[in-house]
Amino acid sequence: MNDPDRLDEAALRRLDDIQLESLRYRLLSEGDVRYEHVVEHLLVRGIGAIERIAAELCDVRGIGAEQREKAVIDASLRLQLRLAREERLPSLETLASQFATQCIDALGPAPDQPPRLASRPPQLRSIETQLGEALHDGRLRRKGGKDS
Amino acid sequence: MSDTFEQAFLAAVDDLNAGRLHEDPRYYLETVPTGQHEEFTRRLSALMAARGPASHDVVTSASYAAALAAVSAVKATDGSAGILPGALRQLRKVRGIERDTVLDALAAEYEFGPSGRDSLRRYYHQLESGSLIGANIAHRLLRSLARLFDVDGEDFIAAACASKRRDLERPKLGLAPSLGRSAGETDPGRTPTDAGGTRRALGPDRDVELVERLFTGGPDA
Repeated sequence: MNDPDRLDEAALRRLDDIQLESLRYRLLSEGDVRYEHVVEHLLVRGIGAIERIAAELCDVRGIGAEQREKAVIDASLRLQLRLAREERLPSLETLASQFATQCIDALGPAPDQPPRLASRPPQLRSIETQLGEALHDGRLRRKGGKDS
Repeated sequence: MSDTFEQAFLAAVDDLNAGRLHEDPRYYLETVPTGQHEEFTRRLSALMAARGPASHDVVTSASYAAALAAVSAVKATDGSAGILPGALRQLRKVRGIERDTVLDALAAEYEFGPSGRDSLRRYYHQLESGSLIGANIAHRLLRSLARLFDVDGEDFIAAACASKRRDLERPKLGLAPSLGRSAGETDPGRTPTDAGGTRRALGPDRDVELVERLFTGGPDA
């Protein structure tokens, strides 16, 4: 329980994103390997944010679930790489938004949803009256068959 | 309001934002003074009611799990080249990029001939396998790779050097020679070297030499 190589789990959970990022930077710049533990927490929160943003963007753009999953994974990997940097980073929400948007922009149109033309609604009109009038006016004549 | 109250509430808000709010409120109330439990519950309930049901919870849980699995796979390969080897493999996987595509692009950028390309294939395999030392990889190569993967070059550099920071605290483990050769050696049949590491009569192959420098010659190579 009291592993000196691990930070207090409950204490980390209580930190907000900004406090976690500050701790990550401090540990990283001091060469303290426990920064990796902080990165794990930031990743769990960041992926949640990426997923939320990606879902909203994909809904708006009509991108399917398969493509969205790829974008979420891609953005999460980018976030993981960024969190290895020994520098102060923007807020987690900002990074998540940046990477999610980049990855969804890179998807282009969704291949699993090819564009479809909307079918034109049929414009039906009754010709009974017009037909009757034409026959009456002599503009149209019966052919004389049994079905006429 | 007490600090412990605010911290517990922020933790709950973070979890709520991430879609992983604990079902048992006692998880958050542990650190909150008893007299403020009611206030805490009232505030959190109000926030949840204001947010409404998360419409994406069901459909996106699969992508959340897949992303967590991907970053865990990267972390699992964390070694002498940091998380870079795992990240390269996962990025290729998710984007459907074949290894040959990466090799083609690098070979074209550095204008490698057949011998350089063979060497490039071996070293790139070692890179993705995690058997190279990240701190010895040339930054220009890492930036070239980053461009191919549309990632910031500094991210790849940081990822490759993550192990250097870890080495400050932990004893170093010797690296097993890859495929029977150390990272600095070349294929014996191609460009032999003497005991001092200098090239013998066959003469240096410019491409092979450059590949070696890029993968093992240090950040400025």
